[in-house]
Amino acid sequence: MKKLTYILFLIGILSFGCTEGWVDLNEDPNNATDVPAGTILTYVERAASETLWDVWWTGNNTSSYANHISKIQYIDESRYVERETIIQRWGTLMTYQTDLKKIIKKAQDEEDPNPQMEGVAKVLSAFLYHIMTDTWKAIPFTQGAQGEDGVMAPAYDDQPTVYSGLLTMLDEANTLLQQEGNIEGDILNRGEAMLWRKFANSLRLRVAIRMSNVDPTTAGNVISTILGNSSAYPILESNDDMIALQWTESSPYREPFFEDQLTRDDHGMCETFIDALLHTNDPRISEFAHPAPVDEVYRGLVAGIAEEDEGSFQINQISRIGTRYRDNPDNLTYWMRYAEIEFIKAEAYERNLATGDAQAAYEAGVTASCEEHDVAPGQIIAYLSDPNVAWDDNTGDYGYTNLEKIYFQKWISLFKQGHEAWAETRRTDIPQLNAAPGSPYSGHNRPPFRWPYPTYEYNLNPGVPEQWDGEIVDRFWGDQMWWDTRTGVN
Amino acid sequence: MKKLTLVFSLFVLSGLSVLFAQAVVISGTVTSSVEGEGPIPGVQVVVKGTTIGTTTDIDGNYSLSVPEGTETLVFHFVGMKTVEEKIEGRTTINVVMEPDVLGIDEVVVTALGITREKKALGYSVTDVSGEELARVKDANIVNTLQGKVAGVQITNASGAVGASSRLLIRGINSFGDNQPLWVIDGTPISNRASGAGQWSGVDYGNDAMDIDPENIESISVLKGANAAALYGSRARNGVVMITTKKGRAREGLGVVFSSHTTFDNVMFLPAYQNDYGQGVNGSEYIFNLRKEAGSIPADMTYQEYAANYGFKYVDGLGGGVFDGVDESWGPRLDVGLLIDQFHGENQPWVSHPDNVKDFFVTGVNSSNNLSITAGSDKVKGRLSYTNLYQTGTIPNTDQKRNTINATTTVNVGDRITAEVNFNYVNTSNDNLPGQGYDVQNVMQSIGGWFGRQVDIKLLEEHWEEWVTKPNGDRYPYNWNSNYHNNPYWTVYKNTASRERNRVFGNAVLTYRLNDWLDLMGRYGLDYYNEFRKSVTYEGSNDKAVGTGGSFSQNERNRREINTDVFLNFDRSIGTDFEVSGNVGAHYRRYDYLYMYLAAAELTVPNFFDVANVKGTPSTDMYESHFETNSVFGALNVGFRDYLFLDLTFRNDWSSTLPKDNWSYPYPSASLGWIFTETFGIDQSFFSYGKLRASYAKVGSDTDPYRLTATYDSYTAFAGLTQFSFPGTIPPANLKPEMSTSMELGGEFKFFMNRLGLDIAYYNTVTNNQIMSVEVSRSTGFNNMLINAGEIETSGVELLFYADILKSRQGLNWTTTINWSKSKTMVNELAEGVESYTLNSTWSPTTVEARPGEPFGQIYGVGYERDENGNKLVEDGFYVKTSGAPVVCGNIMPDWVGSIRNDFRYKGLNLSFLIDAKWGGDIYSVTKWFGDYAGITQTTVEGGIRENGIVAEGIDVNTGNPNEVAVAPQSFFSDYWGATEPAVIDGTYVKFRELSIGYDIPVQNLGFLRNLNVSLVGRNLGVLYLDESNDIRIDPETGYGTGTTAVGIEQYQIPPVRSLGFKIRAEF
Repeated sequence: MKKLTYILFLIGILSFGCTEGWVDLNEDPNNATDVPAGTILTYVERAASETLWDVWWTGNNTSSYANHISKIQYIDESRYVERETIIQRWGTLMTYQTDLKKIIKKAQDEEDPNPQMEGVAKVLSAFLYHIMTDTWKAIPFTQGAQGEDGVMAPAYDDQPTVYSGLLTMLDEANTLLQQEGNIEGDILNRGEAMLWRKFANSLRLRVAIRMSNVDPTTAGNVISTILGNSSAYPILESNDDMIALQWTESSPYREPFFEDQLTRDDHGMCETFIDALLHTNDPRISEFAHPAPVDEVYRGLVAGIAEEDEGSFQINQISRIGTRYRDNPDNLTYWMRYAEIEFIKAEAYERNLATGDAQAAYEAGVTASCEEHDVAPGQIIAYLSDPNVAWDDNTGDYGYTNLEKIYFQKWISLFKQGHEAWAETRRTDIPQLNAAPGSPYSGHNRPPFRWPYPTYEYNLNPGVPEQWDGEIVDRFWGDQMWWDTRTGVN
Repeated sequence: MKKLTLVFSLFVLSGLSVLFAQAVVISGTVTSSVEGEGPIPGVQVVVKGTTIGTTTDIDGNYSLSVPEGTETLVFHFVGMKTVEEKIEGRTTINVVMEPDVLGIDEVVVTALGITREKKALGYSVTDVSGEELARVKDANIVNTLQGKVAGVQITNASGAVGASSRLLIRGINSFGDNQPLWVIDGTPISNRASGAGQWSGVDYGNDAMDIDPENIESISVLKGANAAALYGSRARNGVVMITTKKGRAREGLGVVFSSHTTFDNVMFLPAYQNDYGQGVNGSEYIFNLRKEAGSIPADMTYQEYAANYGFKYVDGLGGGVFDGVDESWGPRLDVGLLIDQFHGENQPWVSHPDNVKDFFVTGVNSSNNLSITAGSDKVKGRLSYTNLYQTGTIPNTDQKRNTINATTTVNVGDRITAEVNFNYVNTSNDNLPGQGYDVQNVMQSIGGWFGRQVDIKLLEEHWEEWVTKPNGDRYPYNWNSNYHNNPYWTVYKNTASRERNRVFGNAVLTYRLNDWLDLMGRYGLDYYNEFRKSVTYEGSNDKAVGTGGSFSQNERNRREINTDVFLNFDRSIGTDFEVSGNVGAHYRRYDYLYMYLAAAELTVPNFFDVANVKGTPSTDMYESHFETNSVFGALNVGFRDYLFLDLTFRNDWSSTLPKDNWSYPYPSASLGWIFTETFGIDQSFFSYGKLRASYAKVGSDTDPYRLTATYDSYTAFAGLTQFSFPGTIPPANLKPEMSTSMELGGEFKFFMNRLGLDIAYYNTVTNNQIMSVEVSRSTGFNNMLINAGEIETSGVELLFYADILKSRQGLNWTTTINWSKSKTMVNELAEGVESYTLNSTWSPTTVEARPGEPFGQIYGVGYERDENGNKLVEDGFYVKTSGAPVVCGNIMPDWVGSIRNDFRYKGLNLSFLIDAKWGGDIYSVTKWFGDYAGITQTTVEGGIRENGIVAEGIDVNTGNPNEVAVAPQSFFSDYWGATEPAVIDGTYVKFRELSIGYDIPVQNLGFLRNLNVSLVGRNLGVLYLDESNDIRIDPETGYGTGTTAVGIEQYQIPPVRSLGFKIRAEF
């Protein structure tokens, strides 16, 4: 019996004694529990550039809605037959907000504060929320990305609330960026606080001009304040101030359109865009597009051609996207270009939202865009005097007013910024676009107004999206954006 | 480890002190009571209550050293009644064994490898003999269990060589892992599966396939928590207990050679159409419509139309007329058209009905085994070598396996027995096929997105050639250069290879303290190193010329140590009570190391070395470690040989849980009552009746490193490291999952065992599921890890057998039926969680668990119906549901069953097995995109390409049956965005196994003792498929072995039919 006791004792030791060191044993050796804020910033800038400006989001959807790009094979998305996985990038965008919150938290560290980094995170946060609200309308803004704090069913905010929040957020960022600090891991703006301030204020202009039809007072105040004090509110001043991500030569971080064309040939130029460039003798056409392989003629394809007409063209009769936008691995992804700022100024002056020389701003915008596309100075001068472009009401093939010419030139300058071009065509209706002929949703006279909420929001955020869902008709239409004051469109 | 060594040395020392104790040698002969049968070889002779024992030799003789004080010897032999003999001072004990007509003394291996009489169990255990498993061998042992055990459901991942198989015992218990634990000779081994994903990947099989059926004495399937309570957490889903063949005391050497060779062919293929070829708008219906609409001249011939509007090959990239398209909506075949094709201009536009079939080849599966056994009463051993060589039905795919298995048992003195079981397995593959919805899966092109007119022979003859396109770019010879590789290019160039070296086994030391108590220590190891490399050649569809090709390789090391020490006791108390059981402790250590490197592009084309990378190589490293400790005890009380009570208790400590929750205890109890014995019922009619009841709880831990959030890392961008906060909110206080099971059952035998029925009902409730639930993405996260929810599985199992004919000299016929039904309900999820996504596939389709609904609902977009259930049609198309997703099916089968017939006439035997799965829906991408791409028979039936398709349903505009015809290509492309048209009923009935064997009389040959030849076949045919499976995919197949990998099919590799022969010779 003594032996037995001894054995039982051993069994006891074996099992009870061995938990020592277990806390360490279960500490993950593969992943870090804390990382520098700069590494998160690099991630968000790179990942967001892929999410928002790859062929799936921009090429298939937003640039197609804006009639810049057409799908020429597997035309589904150009016909608004979308993939839920792209709509579900809602979630991807929201996880970036979580990452930005982490940066802000680290930057607010009492021992080692870094207000500049906080400012950067706020600019990015506002930028991403702005795209979300212009895509889905009501979004969870004030309660968004607070899952770690237990907010599991964030309420949605209407657009006036979101817009006002964005203006505040960007103003705060401009202030923070003037304080002490350093910006690390920044692959978008080279770690330059001044460039981030310009980006913040320029983005504020973008937000303000968008809401200018429905809240001209606020918009006018914001725009006048910014344009009236360039030292307190610096903005983009030249093409050198372009906010863009430059990709690398080699895999895995090559420009997304380049990466796609290695294996797919689904995207060509849209007929509306090519026709507009041809009509106006646009010198940028050879930069935007390649002539069609078959006959070296610039030719676009209707966005979302009807199925029965699919046999009426061959893809080599269609122009492909130009070299600087598709054919180099280290091309740019454009977050914001200088020309847009001049067009915002021109519009604000023309509509008396602020005081200034509209024509000068307009011509500066056209010039900036042409220079960006390496158009020779002589050609720019000629182009500016073409009746289609010249600052002269109701001239040219389309008979546009000066304001409409601003809108038209802005639309051209936003090539491959699908989201912004789509938003502006919804706001200005210039150029006037038609719904895709091959759309399965009949009775619509304009491209989509908005995206449907991703299905998982219906399952997982009970009650919240339903009140907004009632506004949606045929997935992509229904109630217009708050700032979309077009009438007679559906 | 240090502690472990200490325990072992103490253990050994304590044993040595009694090494020289007195021993008695007992010998004798065992004979059969049946006239003419004489001595019985292979009878187990065991000192009662211990594992000390031997077996009788060829002449029925045995000799055994028994420790002093031994009272009783027990004689076991399958098919004979167990005999217990009191020694009472004798040194010669001769025994006569009687046939066990009732089969009630059958012994089975239970938890911890303890052999027990089946009658004493209060729960369900099914035994399958090694002979039955080896009869018709499959390279994967899991498949050989198909249809042999009630309550077990087996799913083969694919028809590819080396593919994994999934084994489920009593359905689903968890949202996580539902695979049973595999135990060999008392030591757990890995059955980790490396299946393909639904979007891509290679199926590297499941680890248990390293076990050669030739080395198996028997398999006991312990079903559910009740049977497995002593193995703890990992046995919650049941245990597959394998006992390997051991050496026997015998004269001379026993040599067995067996050779098993089958020829494997594709069993069946999807139903393709052969009426229309590649292209778009080519049908007569569209041709006529266009004529009517005036969009083509009224006098245009069909030849002119077809060659200019339907299909015209220029570059296979979209440069011609629909020549980039990989769909078959083109012109009609076999009506004399001449059309420009990939192999030349103005080629006859004719069908090649066997173009898919002709791609596949006959695979060979050859397994040769040689084993040698030898032994005395002191030392016994068995050595076995198996060589498996297998080639797949897909060209250039293979699997080779060499297995060495050695077991040695040494009796040291009369108190100590040492046993070593050792296995070395080398598995290598030069190439395994790509699977899933991926360009590397040949079925994605030839079986899915295909031009039905393509002549596969041309692709085979020219696959190594290159073609220069009009724009100057070079491409490999192929029918389409837009989306696909030439399938021969894929299988010969883009290979995925693997090499694995694995060692597993254990060392067992048993020390007998006295005649009712022994102490056992066991150290078990399972270690492997595996190396995998996949290469993609430049010129492949996703690696254009200029990229140089790509590769990835990885290495993994996995090691698991299981150590246990336990004390067994077994003694009688008075004449009425028999008490046995054990107390013990268990320690488990798991270590895993993984390294990966890959180059997406290469500088020197097709030189697959990391030094040759263009850009930055992708790399990854991962390691994982954890430990568990346990103590356990079991008490089994038998009363008068008819009432049996088992009690067990176990406490686990797991390092993967939070400190406060490391420890979790759980109990089990079971009761068996042989009422026919109690009441002395007349055996000639009601020969045997037993009732069983049991209850068990089993806790379960989680994977390591799940308690805190850690940042995800990404390949550096221009030298800058990138991290992001993870998408999963970590758990606050993770607790172990807990399953509570009960089982009621009975075993009834009639007419002296000619007829038997075993029936069981079970119910398992698992709560505190450790699950990663989806959260609203607006929270900034995708998931949250929580402990919540409750799922409940209940089911019925039925085993029926009948010896319809029984005659010693004449014809014997036995029928065995297995049937089981199980249903899993989701009782609740976490508060506020309405749905848990188990799996998702093509949007908008998901497989979900929702409270109050059965597990595994397929949700997505369906078709609207009126109140009578008729589908609604608008403008000729079905109206899709909008808004919240609707239920379109359920992946869980209604029941599974099998029927087996064995015939024996003297030396000749025939047996065949038919098995069935009823119900269980499948989301079939082969069906969905097959119809979409116009390759299936469905897309031509009823003259729809001539006249248009009129959807069956009610027209929403008229309220009457729909009369609007639309073009089939539009109708079927409207499948996009809908779930319902992809869902089919997965019912099947299959002719699973056939074996016709003959024992060739070899009495006159002295050296040869037994010779058997047999004709064997597996998966011989499919006898029934549901009509909704009009595509005719194999409904058995899932893409992997995960809980919900069944129910989704993406371009499956077709199932395989095997037919061959087996020779077995004993010398």
